[in-house]
Amino acid sequence: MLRAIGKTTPLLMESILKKTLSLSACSPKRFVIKDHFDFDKKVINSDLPIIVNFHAEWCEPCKILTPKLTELLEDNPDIDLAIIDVDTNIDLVHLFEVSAVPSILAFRNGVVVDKFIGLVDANKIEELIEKLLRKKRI
Amino acid sequence: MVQIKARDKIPSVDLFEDSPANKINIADLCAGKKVVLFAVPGAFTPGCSKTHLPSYIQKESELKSSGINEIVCVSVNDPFVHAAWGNQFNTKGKIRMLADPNANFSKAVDLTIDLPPLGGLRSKRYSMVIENGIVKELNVEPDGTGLSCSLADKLKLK
Repeated sequence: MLRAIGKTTPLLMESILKKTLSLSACSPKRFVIKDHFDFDKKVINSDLPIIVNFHAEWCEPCKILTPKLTELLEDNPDIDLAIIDVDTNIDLVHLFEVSAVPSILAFRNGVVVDKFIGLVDANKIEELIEKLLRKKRI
Repeated sequence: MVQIKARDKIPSVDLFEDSPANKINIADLCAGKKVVLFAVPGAFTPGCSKTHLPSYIQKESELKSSGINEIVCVSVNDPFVHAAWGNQFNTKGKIRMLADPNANFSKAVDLTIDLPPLGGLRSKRYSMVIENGIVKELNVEPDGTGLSCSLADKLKLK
């Protein structure tokens, strides 16, 4: 947060306000990524750890995992969720070498810290979330 | 075991239709015929349009009129579950639902994958064209986990 003060813009102020207010409101932060610039802004430059979900509408396993992830992260103010539709974001698919959907990448401070492919079991999903939360406290 | 490939003979293994009492030897079934055999990680599991039961049912008459004698669907499940899945989609007379409960066939062609979320060793997702017992074509879905959809086509486009 401190490093941002030098470049405080109205948008950033709004985001800081939202985060401090959201602790009481507990609003789910769920982004749908529109393009590469959107990705940089919301994922790479995210202050919180963020789970990125590569999703396709024509993929049945995705239709099961995406709602489950949303549900698990809904009341969690410490992790954000970004959804990337692979059909409209081919450049991001190539950039992260996503070979199959659903693909989940966990980001912290702009780098990938964990990932898994496919509709995995509930424990694996929870482990990923725990791992993201744990490292944050160090 | 080495993974089966084009020009290999289909191994002589028993699969099961409807119940454990009804065994069908896959090599015998393929003798003198042109067969499309596709396999999925599990009955009732969510999949992708390519190698999946509904799409084969849709293409069934087209495939049969172009010379295919039998369409076979294999998965590592007990014969009751596999048959019930077929019944849900009315496959009777169109697609032979042949279960591989101990993965004997899947192991013989070396197209198995360990899928803990489904209970253990399962078949990979693939399709084969077999002519008179010889594999003509094999397409294995590169999705790795079985419960995902490959983006191979999308990646090739660039």
